[in-house]
Amino acid sequence: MWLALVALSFSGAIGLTFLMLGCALEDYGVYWPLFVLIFHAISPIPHFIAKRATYDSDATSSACRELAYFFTTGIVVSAFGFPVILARVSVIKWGACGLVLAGNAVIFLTIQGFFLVFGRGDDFSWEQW
Amino acid sequence: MAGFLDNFRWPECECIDWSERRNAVASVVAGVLFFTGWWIMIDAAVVYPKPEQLNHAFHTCGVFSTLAFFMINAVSNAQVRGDSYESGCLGRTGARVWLFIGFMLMFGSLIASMWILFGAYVTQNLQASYRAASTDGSPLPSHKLLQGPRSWPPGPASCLPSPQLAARKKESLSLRSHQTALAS
Repeated sequence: MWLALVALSFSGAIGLTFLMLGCALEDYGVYWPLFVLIFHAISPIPHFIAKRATYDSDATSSACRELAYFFTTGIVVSAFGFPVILARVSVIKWGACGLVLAGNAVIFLTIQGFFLVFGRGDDFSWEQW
Repeated sequence: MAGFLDNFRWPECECIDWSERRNAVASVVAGVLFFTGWWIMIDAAVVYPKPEQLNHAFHTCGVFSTLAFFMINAVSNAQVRGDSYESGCLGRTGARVWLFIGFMLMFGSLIASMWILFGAYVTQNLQASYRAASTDGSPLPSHKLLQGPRSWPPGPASCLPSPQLAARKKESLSLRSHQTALAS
């Protein structure tokens, strides 16, 4: 469990490094891509809202959980689309866009890894909230 | 030849039970398609900011499609059949009317987007290629769908003669002045 935590924090740091490289290198120097951090922060929220609202009574499928998947996918797509649009109007360069997209991919994989490793199990109870 | 795919089966994959995850996969695919569509519209609005290139009223197609999407998904099959325990605030007939309105909005915005594609953009490209093949190089008048909010009421500029007529008049004037210059 400790190994998973260390590995996930390392990959999270790598992802954030890609994002900061995309902003702070001398060729680029534009800090608009940092707004994708907002998408990273709100991406787990639909999952938590759905988990709270349905009390997980329906084992297999629940409409609330699928709606949460829909909005989470939307947030992920938005986090990938935002740097591409910035690069299309030349606010940032395409090299910076590529770095930010790579950082996005690593950070979302890290978040998914957190849910896989720490999300299931009986110790994830309501009293934590 | 008629039934040559009858014995075809997908390769079996026992590692993941797809029957239970059908809904999750479908909602993820739906999310990807839906939000990719919206980001394409945002990209178009950002890359072509002028109303002559993209009239911002065209976004209403996307807005009504989104509204119709949520209206249609709010109603479950059981409510339409009348099977569910609680009847909802509208009942079975209300659920059917709600679905009807949702589908009408969806099809209407789809047809409107097709209209905009062919009316405002495809025909402009065809006219541009025809005009490039002809002799006069007058600028292409933009389609009335692409004009900004100042297109109504028509101002005094709309009473001017058409560009072709003006170009021909200019040609005849220049020809006449050239003839007088030669004669003198």
